Amino acid sequence: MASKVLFTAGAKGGTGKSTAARLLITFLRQNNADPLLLDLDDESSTLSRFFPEAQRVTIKKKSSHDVLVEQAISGTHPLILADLKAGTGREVLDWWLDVPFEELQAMAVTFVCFGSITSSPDSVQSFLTWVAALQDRVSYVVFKNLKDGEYLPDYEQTAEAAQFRSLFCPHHVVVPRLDEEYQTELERLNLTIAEVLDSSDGISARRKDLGPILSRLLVRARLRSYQRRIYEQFDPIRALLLPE
Amino acid sequence: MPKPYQSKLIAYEAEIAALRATRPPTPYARIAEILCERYALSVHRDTIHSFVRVRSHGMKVFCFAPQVETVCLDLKRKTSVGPKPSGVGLSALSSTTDPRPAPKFNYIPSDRYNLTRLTTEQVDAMERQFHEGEN
Repeated sequence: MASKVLFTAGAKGGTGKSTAARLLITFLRQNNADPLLLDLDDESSTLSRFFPEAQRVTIKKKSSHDVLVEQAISGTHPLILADLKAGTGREVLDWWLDVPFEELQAMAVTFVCFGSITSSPDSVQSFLTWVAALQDRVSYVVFKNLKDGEYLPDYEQTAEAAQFRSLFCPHHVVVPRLDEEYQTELERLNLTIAEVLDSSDGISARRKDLGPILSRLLVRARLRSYQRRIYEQFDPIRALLLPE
Repeated sequence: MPKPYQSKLIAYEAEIAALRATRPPTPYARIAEILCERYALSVHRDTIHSFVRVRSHGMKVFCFAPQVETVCLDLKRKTSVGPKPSGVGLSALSSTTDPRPAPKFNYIPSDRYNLTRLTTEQVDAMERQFHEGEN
């Protein structure tokens, strides 16, 4: 069975990699895909906090990442989503260079890389470092996370980023800024937007109390609109995201 | 059963040995840059240091132990027979290792900001140029 591995990339923390992963997972689930979730962030375990069913992988050595390829070639999961931790740049990049992409292609395993960039130059630099290592062996989706503002000159106006866009034709998803109050509540309660929207009587499907802020009708309406804006951008790339 | 660990630098052993055999020895950071430029191999200078150290057999300034260096010199001699390619020496040695396809996209971040800011017009022109080049 063909497997597709979706993974987050970039060594800089706080760029919205796990936020992107969360939105992606809820979108995939809404489209009847059930990805195997691998949480390779053994420091903050963000993915496991929001999705307790995620498989936690402790990164102690380079070979710890082998689980990604092993799961992909086992064929039991047509779709795998791996959330890599920030700050693992070098070791993870070294690992990628060992991945036998040609052999995996013959086994119908494909990779999609999700980068997340903000207005911080470091977010662009660390992502481009990954691109230089991965080249055209993966497809790219770039999340333009506007949490720190809409000014992204290091991605939109630099020669290196322009070259990346021209060579690899990445897909772009703009993640608008979400009100800090809502964002903090979601993080505090480890709730995804989809969970909040699917809840009833202020209780989520995981039996979590939404609290006074997320239970408000207007807040839920804003979250719905926010989620819709992102899902609408996923729609044109469904074929890339969903299993074949 | 998992395979025993093998350094990815083994394929570049001869080249690294030659670089460390220069006087003064080529710094590890520079070797890392050379490997990145030539083979798109990203490797930290510490990795090269460890790689050389375990092969130095206790020499104080780490370079390859004599038997490995001999192999390198043999390689040098072999490449010096017949017409010499341009850039004899290290580039000749590199031709003995497995060359990888040149990377399409190159970017090596420095400690300082090293992206090249352009105006919107320049970016548009650059992207047009790329697309025209493809067609």
